[in-house]
Amino acid sequence: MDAHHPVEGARAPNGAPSEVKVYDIEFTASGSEYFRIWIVNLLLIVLTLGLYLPWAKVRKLKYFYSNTWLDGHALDFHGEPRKMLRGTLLVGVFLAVYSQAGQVSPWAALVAAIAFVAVWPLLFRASMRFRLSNTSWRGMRFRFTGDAGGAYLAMLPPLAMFLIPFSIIGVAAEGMTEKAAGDFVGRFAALTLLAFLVAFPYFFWQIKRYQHGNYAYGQMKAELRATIGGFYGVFLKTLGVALLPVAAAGAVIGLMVAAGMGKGFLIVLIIPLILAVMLYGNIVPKAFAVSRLQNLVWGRTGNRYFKFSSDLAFSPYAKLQLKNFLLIGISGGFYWPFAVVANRAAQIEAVSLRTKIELDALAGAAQRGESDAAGDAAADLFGLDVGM
Amino acid sequence: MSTLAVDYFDGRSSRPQRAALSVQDGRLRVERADAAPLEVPLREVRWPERTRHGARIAQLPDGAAVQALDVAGWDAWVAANAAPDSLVVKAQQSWRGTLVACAALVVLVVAGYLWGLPVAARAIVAFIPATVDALAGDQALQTIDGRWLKPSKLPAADQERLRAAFAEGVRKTYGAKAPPWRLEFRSGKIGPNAFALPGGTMIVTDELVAMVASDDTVLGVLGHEMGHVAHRHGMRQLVQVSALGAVLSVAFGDYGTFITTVPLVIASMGYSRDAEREADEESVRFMRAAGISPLAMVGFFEGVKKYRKDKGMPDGPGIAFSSHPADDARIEYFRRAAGR
Repeated sequence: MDAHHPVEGARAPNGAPSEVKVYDIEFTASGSEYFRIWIVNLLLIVLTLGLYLPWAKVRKLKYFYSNTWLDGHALDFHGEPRKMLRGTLLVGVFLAVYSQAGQVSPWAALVAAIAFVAVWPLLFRASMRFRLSNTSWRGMRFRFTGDAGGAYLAMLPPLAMFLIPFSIIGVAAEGMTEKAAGDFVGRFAALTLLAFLVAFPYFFWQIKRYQHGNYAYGQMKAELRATIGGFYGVFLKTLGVALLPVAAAGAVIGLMVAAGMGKGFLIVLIIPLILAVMLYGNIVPKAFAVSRLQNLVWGRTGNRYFKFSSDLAFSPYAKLQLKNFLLIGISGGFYWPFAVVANRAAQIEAVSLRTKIELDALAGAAQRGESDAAGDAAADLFGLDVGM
Repeated sequence: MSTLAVDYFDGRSSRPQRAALSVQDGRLRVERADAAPLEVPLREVRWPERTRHGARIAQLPDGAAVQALDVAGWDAWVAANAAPDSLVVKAQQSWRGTLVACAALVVLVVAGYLWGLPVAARAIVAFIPATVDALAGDQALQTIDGRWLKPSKLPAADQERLRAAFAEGVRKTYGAKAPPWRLEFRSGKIGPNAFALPGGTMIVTDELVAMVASDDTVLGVLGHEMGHVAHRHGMRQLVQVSALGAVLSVAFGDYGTFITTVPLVIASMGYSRDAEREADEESVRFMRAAGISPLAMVGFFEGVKKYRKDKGMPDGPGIAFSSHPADDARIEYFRRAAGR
């Protein structure tokens, strides 16, 4: 519970009725309409050499938000494009410097990696604050209550573990002979990567706890009650799903060789087999991970008064991804906005809200939008979103 | 004076209140059932854009908001009383506007790919100091040397002869305007090969020298590599591919990265083939200045063909995925340059 006092006219949660109500979240955007929005946005972005980007982004967000409904009212976005333009430029310059540092020297790359690790948690927090405080439902803004310390605790270990070792390798290998450097780099990189993979579900759990545990609306603050075991479960199963077809393809080829089939026949078969495995590898494991993680994370987000649940089924979701993938390819990219809307619809409509309090009874201090638009731009550039 | 029924939110609680909107003298008036009426200047209201699907929520200056009860009624009322559609909304909401935007976008993207980006990349690279090329080239050579290349076994006399002949050719072709260059011989796992790194370092493998067995052909190949150096193709390609990647991620941003990879590869291969053609032109210029027949380069392509056949290597991928133009087209180009 947050420390905000109930405002006049709203009922405190304690006095609320205890019967449980379930609300489905609805998504009413249409692919053809988003296509029209997308194409006009793209044209304006190209004409202005990218300066229109924040206006395009706000339009897109407002379209998606105004089509996301809970109990008869839709979400709304309040970000101001002019402020977001500054953020976009700032983060663009930072990223450009970071990505080119490696071209100059290993030392520059190391310095850039350390700077990136130091700044990224702050940017992440800023992006969450910006996005949440500029999102409203029934006129009232959401909030993100995470502090900078929490962001560092959740994100410093994985970032440091992933980015810094590779830069140190670059610096350390500089003075070695070719062979020694090769051996050293190979072993060190393999070890680091293995350790990172083993720890990845733990890191992911920490980040999601920081994220979902700091969402707030009115006097309600969410918690993420998922345990670490759930995360390891999803990642292990994803690994299995990813490796399954490789094993199956190997078995098929092995059987055919054992059955004494001709070399020519094998060569004919091998190309479709490789294509099928590639297609599978690009779609199915990701669809599995996305659907299971959404169910895990959103299904455990809530507090004693309300709780979300999510039932995004893997198999239809994977079929949707396959369909999107093929149609985007066939249409030369023009199906893309339709695919985005279909994907969002599947994800959002899987979520529902169970609540013991009246949705009318929530209240909080008046919130103004955070002006920290750099964070939002960073979130976009790094491909990060609220997760839904 | 017409009014519009809406849900009003005060921004401090999630309880909707019924209200009626009206406009008077450039001010929006919000009549609420259980509170005093509210008035705000019309131009301080952030009106939503008209769409076919979705809610209509107007943001009022003090953190309050109003949401439409009946979307069609809202659109008609707002258009008549408050805010007409912007040009962007008109374009988005008509298929004709969308088609015009679509056509304009295709024209702009094609023109940008064919002319805009190459010209811009040339201009940007002109601003990058040559020391950056040199740093990048040294870095790349260190990496490649460690992994793929071994010292050359070509006799020092042969190396010196080729280097001197090449220096003479460069002097005749470029005169005082010759960019800095360095010629290195290596052997290793990459077969008969020659390439240029940013900053002017050119690598030729012993296997290439042995395969073509003609100084003229080696010099023709080096003239081609010198073309890459003179045009700073490495840096230009870096700028072009970064820009393409940025454009693709903006257009197809939030739906996974794999979908943008294929067009990025195809588009950058197109630029790479353009660079190869440009380098072939430079090679011809070099050979003419050095008094070598462009036919010498035909020998190179025949040598490569034979080498591939002997090693049982398959032909390369389809042309769209290839970094170089088709060999036949390049042979034809050099034959023509030789006047045959």
